[in-house]
Amino acid sequence: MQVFRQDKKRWREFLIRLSRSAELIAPVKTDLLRFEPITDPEQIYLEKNAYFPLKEWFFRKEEVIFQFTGNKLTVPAFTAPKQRIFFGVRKCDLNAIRHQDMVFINDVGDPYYKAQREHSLLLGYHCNTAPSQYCFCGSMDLVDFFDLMFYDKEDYFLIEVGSDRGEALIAEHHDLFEQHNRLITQDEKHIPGADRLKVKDIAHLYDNPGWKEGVDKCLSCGACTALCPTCYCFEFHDETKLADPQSGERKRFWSSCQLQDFTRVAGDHVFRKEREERFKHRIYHQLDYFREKYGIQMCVGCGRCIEGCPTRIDFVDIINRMERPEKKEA
Amino acid sequence: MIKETTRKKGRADANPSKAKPLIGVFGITGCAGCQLSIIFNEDDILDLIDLVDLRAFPFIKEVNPEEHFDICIIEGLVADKGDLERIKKLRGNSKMVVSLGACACTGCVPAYRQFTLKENYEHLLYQKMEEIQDVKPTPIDAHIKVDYYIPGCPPDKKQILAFIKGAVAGRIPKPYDSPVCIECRQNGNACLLDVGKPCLGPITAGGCDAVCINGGFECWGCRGPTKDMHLDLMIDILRAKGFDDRFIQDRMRTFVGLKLPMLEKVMKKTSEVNVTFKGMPAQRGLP
Amino acid sequence: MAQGFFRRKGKTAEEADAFQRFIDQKLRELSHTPSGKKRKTSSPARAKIKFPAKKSAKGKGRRKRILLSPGKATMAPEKAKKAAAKRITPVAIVPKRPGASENPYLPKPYRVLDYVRESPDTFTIAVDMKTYHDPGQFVQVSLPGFGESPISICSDSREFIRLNIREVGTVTKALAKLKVGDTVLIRGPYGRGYPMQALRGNDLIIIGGGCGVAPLKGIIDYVYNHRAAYKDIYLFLGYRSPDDILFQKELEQWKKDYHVHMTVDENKQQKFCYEATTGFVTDKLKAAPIDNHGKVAFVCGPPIMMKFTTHILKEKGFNDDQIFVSAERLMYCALGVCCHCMIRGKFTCIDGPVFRYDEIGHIKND
Repeated sequence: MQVFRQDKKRWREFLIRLSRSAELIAPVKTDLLRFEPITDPEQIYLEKNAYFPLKEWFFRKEEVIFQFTGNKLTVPAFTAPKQRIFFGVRKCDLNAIRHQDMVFINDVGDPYYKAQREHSLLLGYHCNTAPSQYCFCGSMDLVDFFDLMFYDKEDYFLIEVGSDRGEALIAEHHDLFEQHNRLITQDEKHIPGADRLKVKDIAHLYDNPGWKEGVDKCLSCGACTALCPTCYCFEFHDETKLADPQSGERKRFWSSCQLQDFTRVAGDHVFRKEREERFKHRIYHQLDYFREKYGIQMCVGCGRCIEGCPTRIDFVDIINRMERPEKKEA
Repeated sequence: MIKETTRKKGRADANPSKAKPLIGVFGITGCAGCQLSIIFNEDDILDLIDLVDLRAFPFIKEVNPEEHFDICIIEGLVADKGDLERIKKLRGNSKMVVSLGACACTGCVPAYRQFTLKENYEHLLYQKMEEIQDVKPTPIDAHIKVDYYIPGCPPDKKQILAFIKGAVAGRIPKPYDSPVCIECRQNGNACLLDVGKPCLGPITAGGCDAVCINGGFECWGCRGPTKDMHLDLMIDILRAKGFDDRFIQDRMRTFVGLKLPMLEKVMKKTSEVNVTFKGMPAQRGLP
Repeated sequence: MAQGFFRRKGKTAEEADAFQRFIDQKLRELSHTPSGKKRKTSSPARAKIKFPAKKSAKGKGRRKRILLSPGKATMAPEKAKKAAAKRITPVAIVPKRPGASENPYLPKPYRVLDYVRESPDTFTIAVDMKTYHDPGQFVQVSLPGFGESPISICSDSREFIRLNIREVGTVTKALAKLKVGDTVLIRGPYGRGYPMQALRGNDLIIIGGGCGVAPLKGIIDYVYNHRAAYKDIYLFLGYRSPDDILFQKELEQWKKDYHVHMTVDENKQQKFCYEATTGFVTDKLKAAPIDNHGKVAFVCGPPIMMKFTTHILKEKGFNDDQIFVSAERLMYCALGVCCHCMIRGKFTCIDGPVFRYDEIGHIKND
C-alpha cells in the first residue's frame, strides 16, 4: 500500500479542513478520554487510548427497530449521517469494528448498523508503545483494517493507505501530503509490550480451578461488557405510548451476559445462574466461541475490561498462570 | 370484587369493551415525595387520567373512598397501629397492591430507628411514646401481600408511568434487577469507586438510569439490593478504599437496612436489633 | 456463517417440492458417490449440502460419519443395524439469511385460521404462513407492545403452520387472547429442526413431557405424511394431570397408528385420561422393552425430565448420537446475533433448537 508523509504543521491544517467538510471525531480528554466531535485539532489527546470504545457510534446503545400502530410497522428512515471521520483510532478499536462488521453486516445484514457505518472514514493512529499496562493486542488475531493509518514519527507522520476511500481523501487534500518512497515495515507495525496473553487456545482450561480467583473478585456489574469494543449482545423491548397503547416502538438495547437476566426464561428459570458460569462465558465467547463461528478471536486485546473493572480482574494474568502455575510466585 | 354498578355508564372510553382500572394512591408514614413523583409526570398526567379511573388520591383529591380498587399504590412504611390497620383494610379492598418508593419496599430512612436505642431519640419526640402506639418500623410487605414493587427514593417518574401503562394493557413491566453499573457505564460515566467514593452501584438494582452518578454523586443504594449481589466483595472493596466498618454499615443501612439481614453477618458484628425479615422477596409480577 | 446448513429461501409449495426432490436426489448421490466428486449446483436456489465438520468433543474426533438414506437397505443387515441411527449428522433447511435489502428483524403479518384450547394454560393456533420447514424449527411470534417469543412449529404442512403455545409470559398470555381472523406478526422459520430425511428407515421413539410435546408433534405429523419411510413409532408422553393432556383430538388417531404410552403425574379426581397411567414418563420408558437397534429417540420437555430420560436411554444402550434433545433459551433475534441463547459456543437459534445429544450432552448446567 502507498505511504505518504506529512509534517505536523500540515497535519493540523489537514484536520481543520476535515472538520469543515465533515464531522470530525477524535479522542478528547474531559474527565476521561473519550471520542467526541471536535473542531480544533488542539483538543485531540493522543497519549493514551480512549477509555470508552468507538462501539457506540455504530452499534448504538439504543436503536429504534420499528414503530408500530396496531400491527402496522414502519421502519424509521435511515437518515445517512453527515460523513463522519474518526481520527486517532487505535489498532484494537479498528479491528473491533471489523469484528462487529462481520457480525452485523456480513452475517445478518443489519440495516441499522450499516446506516451508521456507511458514511464513516477510519483514520487510525499507531501506538508506538502499548498505551496501557493492560493492553494485549499483540496476542490477538489483528489485521490491518483502516482507511488511513498515521504513524507518529516525532515531527512528522507517515501515513499508510488502507482503502480506496482513504486514497481518495488524500487525493482530495494532495497539497498537504508528500509521497513517501518507503513502505511501512513489519517492525514498525509491531507494538512493543502488548503481547501479554501467552495462551492461544483456552478451550481445555474450562474446568481449571484457576478461574475462581477471578470469580471471587467479580461483582457481576457488567462494566466489562459495556466498555468492550467488540461485545455485541443486545435485547429488544417494546415501548408503547401512554395516549395510545396500540402504538409505540420496538427498541434495541445493549445487553450484558454478566447478568442473571441474560438467560432468564419465562417461568423464572435462569440458565447461567452461577457467577462463575457468567464470568467464564464472556471470556470464552471472546477467545473461543466466536472463533467457532467466524474463525477469529473476538477479543482485540484493548484491555478496557480490565482497566474499567472496579476490582481490576486481569483475566489475561489468570489464564497465563493457569497454563504456567510455576510463575505464580514471580 | 368490583361491582359494575359503581361505575358510571356511557363514559367516553378509548376501549369501550374494557372498563378503566380503578386506582388508589395512598400514603402512610413517609415524606409523600413518592406520591409527588407521580404528579411530576406533568406532560402525561392528563393522558394518565384518561387511561385510568383515579378513584382515590388524598394528596390531590378531596373525595377519596377507600374501597374497590384494582390497583392500590401505597407509599410509606408501617410505623404505628393506624398505618397497620389502614394497609390491611386497603389490601382487603384491592386486587393488587403496589409498594411505591423505598420506604414501602425496603424501609428506608424512617426504619433507621430500628438500629438505635430508644433512649437516643425519645427526647426528640413531640408526644410521649405511649400515646403514639408505635410498632416496629417495617416495610409494608412484612404485613400484607405486595404484588409489585416500584423502588427508589424517590421512584423514577417514568417507571411509575410505565407500570400503570403496563397494568392497563396487561403487560406489567419486569422488575429491573440489574445493577446500577450497567446503565452508569452505558451513560459513559467514570467509575466513582475509582476516585474513592463509596458508591454502592454494583450491588444496587438499577432502572434509575444511574441518575445520581450522572450528576457525580455516588449511589446510596436506594433501589434495594440486586438478587445477585456480591455483598462480601463490596464490603471488602469499601474497606480497601479506607472506609471503616461503621461507615459501611451506616451507608448500606440508610435505604435498605431491613432488607439486608446478611449485612450484620458479613460485617461480623453483633447488631443491636434482631432483624427478622427475609431478603427482598422474589417479584413474580401479577398473582 | 453457519456451516452445515442448506441455505434456502422457503417460499411457495412448488418451490418446496422441487427442493425436496433435489434434496432427496442429493442425499442419494452423496451416499453413493465418493467425496471429492464435484457436485452440481443446479436448480432451486443456491442450495449447498455441507456436512458440519463437527469439532470433536474430547477425543471423539476419529469417527466416521455415515449418512442414512433410502439406499441404506443395500447394506449388510448387521451393518445397517449398527449404522442405523449412528453417526447421523443433523441436517436441516433454514431460510436463507435475508439479503442486504431485507430487514432481518421485521416480522410479517399473517392471519389466524384456527384457535383450539388444548388445556387450561395451552392453546394451539393455526396461521396461514406458507413456508417449507423441518419439524422442530421455530418461528418468532411478535405482538407489538408486548414483545416477541420463539414458538416451535407443531405441524407439517406447506399451507399453514400450527403453533402450540403455553401461557407463561407476557407475550404468550397476550397471544391467548387472539381470535380467528386476527393478524399476528411472525418471522421465521428459524433454527435447525429434526433431521428427518437422514433418519429414514428407523424406529422413532418420541418422548415428550408437558408442553415439550409440541415440537415433537411436528415429527408425528411429518411421519404421518411420510409413513412409509419409517418403521415403528413409539410415543411416550407425560403430563402433569389429565387436564394438561395436549392434542386430545389427534390422540385417537395416534393410538391407532403408533405405540402410545401416556402418563400423568397425578390424577386426583380420577378423570378420564385416555388410558394414561399415573406416574412419571421416565418410569414408563424404563419399563418399556426397548433396545437401541435401529432406533432414534427424540426428547423434549422440562430440563429435569430431559436429564433423566437421556440417562435412561443411555442405560438402554442408546448412543449419544441416537438421541436428539431440544433446548429452550431466552432469545431475541433468532439470527445468532443477540447471544442470549448461547449454550457454550452453540447458538440455540441457529445451531439448535434441536441438538444431537453429543453436541451439548457434556454441558452440565442443562
